[in-house]
Amino acid sequence: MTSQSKNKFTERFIRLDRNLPLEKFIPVAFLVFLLCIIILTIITFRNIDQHKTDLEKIDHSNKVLAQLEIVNYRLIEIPFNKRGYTITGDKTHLLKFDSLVIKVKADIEKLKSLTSDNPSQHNLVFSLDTLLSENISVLNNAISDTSVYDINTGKFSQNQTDAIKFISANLTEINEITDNLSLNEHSLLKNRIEEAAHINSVTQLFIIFAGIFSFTVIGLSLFISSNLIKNKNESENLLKKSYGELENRVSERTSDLKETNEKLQFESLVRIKAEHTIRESEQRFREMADSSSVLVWITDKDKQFTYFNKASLDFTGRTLEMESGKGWTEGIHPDDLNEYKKVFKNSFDKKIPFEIEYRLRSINEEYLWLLDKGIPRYKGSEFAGYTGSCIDINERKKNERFLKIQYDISKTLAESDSIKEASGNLLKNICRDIGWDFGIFWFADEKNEYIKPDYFWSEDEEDINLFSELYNDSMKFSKGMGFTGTIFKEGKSMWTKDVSTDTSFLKIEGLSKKGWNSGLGIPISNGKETIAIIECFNKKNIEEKQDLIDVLESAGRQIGIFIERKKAEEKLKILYLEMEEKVKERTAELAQALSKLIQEGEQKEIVQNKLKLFSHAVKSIKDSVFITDLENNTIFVNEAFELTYGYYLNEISGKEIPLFSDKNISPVLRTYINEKTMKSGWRGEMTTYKKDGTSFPSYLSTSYIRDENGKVNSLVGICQDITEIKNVEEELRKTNEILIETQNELIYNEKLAALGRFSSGVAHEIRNPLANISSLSQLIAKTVLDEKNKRRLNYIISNVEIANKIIKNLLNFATPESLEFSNVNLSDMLNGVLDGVEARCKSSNIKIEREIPEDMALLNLDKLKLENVFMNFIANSIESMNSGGTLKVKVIEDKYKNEVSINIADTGIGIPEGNLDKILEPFFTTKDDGVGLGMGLSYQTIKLHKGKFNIKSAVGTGTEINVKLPIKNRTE
Amino acid sequence: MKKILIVDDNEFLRFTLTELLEDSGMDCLAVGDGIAALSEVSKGLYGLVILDLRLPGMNGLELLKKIKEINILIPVIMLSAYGDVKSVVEAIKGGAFDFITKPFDNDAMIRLIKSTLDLKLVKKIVVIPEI
Repeated sequence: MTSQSKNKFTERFIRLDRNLPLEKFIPVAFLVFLLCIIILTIITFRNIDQHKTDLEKIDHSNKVLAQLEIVNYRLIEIPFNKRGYTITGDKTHLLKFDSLVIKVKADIEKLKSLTSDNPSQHNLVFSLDTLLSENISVLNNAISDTSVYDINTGKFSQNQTDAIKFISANLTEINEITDNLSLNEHSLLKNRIEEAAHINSVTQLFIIFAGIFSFTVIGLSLFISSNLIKNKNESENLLKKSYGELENRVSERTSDLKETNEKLQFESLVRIKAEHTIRESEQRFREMADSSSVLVWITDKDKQFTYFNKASLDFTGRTLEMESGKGWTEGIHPDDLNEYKKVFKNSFDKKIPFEIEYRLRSINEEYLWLLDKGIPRYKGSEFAGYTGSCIDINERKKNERFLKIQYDISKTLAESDSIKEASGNLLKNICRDIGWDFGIFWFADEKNEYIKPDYFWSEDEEDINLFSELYNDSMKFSKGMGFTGTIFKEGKSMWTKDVSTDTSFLKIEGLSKKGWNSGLGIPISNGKETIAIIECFNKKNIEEKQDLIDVLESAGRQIGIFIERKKAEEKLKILYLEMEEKVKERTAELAQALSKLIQEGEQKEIVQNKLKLFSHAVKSIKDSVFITDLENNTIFVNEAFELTYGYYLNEISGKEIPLFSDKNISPVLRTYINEKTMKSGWRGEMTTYKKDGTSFPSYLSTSYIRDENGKVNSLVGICQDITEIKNVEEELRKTNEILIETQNELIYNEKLAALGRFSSGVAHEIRNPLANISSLSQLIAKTVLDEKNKRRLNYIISNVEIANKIIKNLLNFATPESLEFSNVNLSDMLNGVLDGVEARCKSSNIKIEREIPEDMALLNLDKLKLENVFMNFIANSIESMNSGGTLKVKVIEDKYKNEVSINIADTGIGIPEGNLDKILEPFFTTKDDGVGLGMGLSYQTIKLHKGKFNIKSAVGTGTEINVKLPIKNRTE
Repeated sequence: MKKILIVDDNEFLRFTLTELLEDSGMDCLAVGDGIAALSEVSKGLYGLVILDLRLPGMNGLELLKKIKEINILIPVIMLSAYGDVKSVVEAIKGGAFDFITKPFDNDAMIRLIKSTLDLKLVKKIVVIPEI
């Protein structure tokens, strides 16, 4: 396939080469390639050029923008300088003004030149220029006007004011124009940048395309040209090779022809010689065959027999003419003829050797067995017919027949179970084997006095009927009576060629009527005397054959032994049957007994299986199961119990069940459970203890067990580990607590938000009048007042301050300020607060107890706000202890929970229960001078620190406040 | 010295502030709403505006924006009764120069006004986009 396709490929190239020669193709390809390169280069250059101009344009726009910016700047500065000169009269301002004017003009000129390519921008610059010129002229006029500013009044003249108005109006316009200019320029700039980017990408694309294209063209032309050269070489080689092959073939053919000619001449010579030899050898063969004793025959290729040797003709007693063709087959035994024809035809058609045995009629009318072997014969390579030879195998055949008789008898005897069965088959086999037509089996009676016909056999049903009539049941021969009786008596075989001439046949009339001629009788002896006879009859007259008689006699002996043995066997069989009957009876008895036993066994097994099931169930239950006697002594515990509690059955068996014997279980509970169990069972939760001392909550269920008589004999308990259930319950409880807390917080926050909205409105409304009061008071205070009025005024001012502070707190409360964190030493802070109130406490007879650790870690807190919180709490405590008491401040650092707990307790008057909920609400106060924001603000501050606040109080006992602050996460 | 414009809806406060400023030798005018304030500012005579954060109709922050549109160079001092950080930040972002809460200290107010008037403002610079 490959070579074929390669050839096709080559052909295609050759064709291509013919149409477009290689020498022409290569320059054309290169020309096309160069042209493409040049076109691509031109396009690329143009693009780069375009890109360059774009970049220049962008640069230009940038310059315009920058210029605009400078102009803008100077425009603002010009009036300032002018005003500076007007006010101060300082000439430097004027000089600056002048130089600025010149610079601006130059700048405008530059702008003009820059925007010369854009008419709309150019026009804008022109209008800008005009406006500017107007401004400058107005400004110059204003400078020349010397009586403009009155230093005394500090006011400008009307002229100046007008000029300023005009300039400012112009400036606004100028601003607009510059804005427009810069806007336009920006949009231009944007467009140009986009365009540049677009061209840039197009150029890159072109360069890539050009590269790919040129490489493809070079590669393709190289590939095609190399292929063309290669194929040209190949085809030249092919041509050379095929030419050489052709020359070779011509010379070969010439020599072949010569050789054939010589061979033909030689062959014709050989053939003449061979024919001569054949003729000679045929003659010799015939001579040889005629002198042989073996029967020889020859056929032609049309199955016609052409030759029989002398021995053959002597055997049949016929002439060659009679036998030729297919004449000789008349002599084949009719039984064998078909088989012979079949074999002969098959072999002949296939031209293979054959071998067949058949009986051929001899000169004395007797059929003799021959073994005929034929082999195909060839003349040269051509089939010429068959040659065959026959050997006399009569003797062998006879022996075979005798052997067959022996074999059949032996086989029949071996296969038969009874004498009856055997006798029928024996008779049939013997008659068939010897080729006789009819047989009778005679049996002697038990006393061996008479002999009676027992069985007839014939191929013909009619014969049997006839003989049954002839030899009926009443027929019997005593010893020496007739043909059969003689055999019975003598114990020797007898043969008669013609029964009609034999006077010993008593029933001769009947026999000869049916055409029976030959008769034969064989005695069957048990070794002592004749016990049976086999008689055969033939319709032909057959000469006595001693060898056949010998064979049959020996067979008779064999049969005799068989019959004797069978008789003995039958006796045994009877005995055996009797025995068997007895055995059966006994077996039945035994079976009955056995089935009874089995039934009992089955019932037992059911019970045992049930027991097994129960024990497996108890074993595999995951809850601990135990059984005790009535005194709580262990009888059984399951695997789960052993694994759970660590007590094993063998160590606690007979002892009190450890569930109750543990030292931690109170005797009261034990007795209670036991009593309940005995009554109706007990179930409930209790803590149980393992061997290693650990405990867990469990659910125990107990009950008593009755025996089959209904008496309570033991107790059973099932114990379930409910640790997980308990844990879940605990978790639920905690979650619920958190939920309630969150809910409270939400309500509080909502309240706070409402308050915020309200207070910010109020604050504004109140602060306006407050500002008035305050400001006016301050103004009055500046005037000359007597002392009395001065004091009154100061009261007004300080009251305004108080009012303002309330508002501030209220605002703070509603919208708390964010915290300002810093690292704070809590112990220092608390000690500082306590130090501050020490004097006051002393005077009120209050004892301060401090439990504040020294070396506390720094906490990240809003110091000022928290200080206020603690100050507020401590002040409240002190106020609640008018008649003395103890103030206790305790700080605990809980590193495990990661928090600091601050406890402030007093022995003051306490808070009534109804008020405890309200203390955090704004404006709730029991003090005469309190605002009611302190506690709320403090709570808020603690919340902002992610802390927890808790208060406990009882009237007459005191109040305890607990604040918990987290150690970490304070920077959030 | 330039004129000062006071914008406050509270009639009494307008009176108090005018008294205070005139006592300190300053020239001022007080108006009660945004529209009047804007028409005054567009006259170009004022060197400073004192502006209340809460006004009827147009609120202080909106007014501040409008004023800055007319004249970006004019300094504005905001006046507020809230005193919260959020509105302060908003106002400063909107271009207010400073901030003072009600009630205020008279001397502090005068100091702030004077220092503001001395200030020189610079216009923003246009940023050229990079290429």
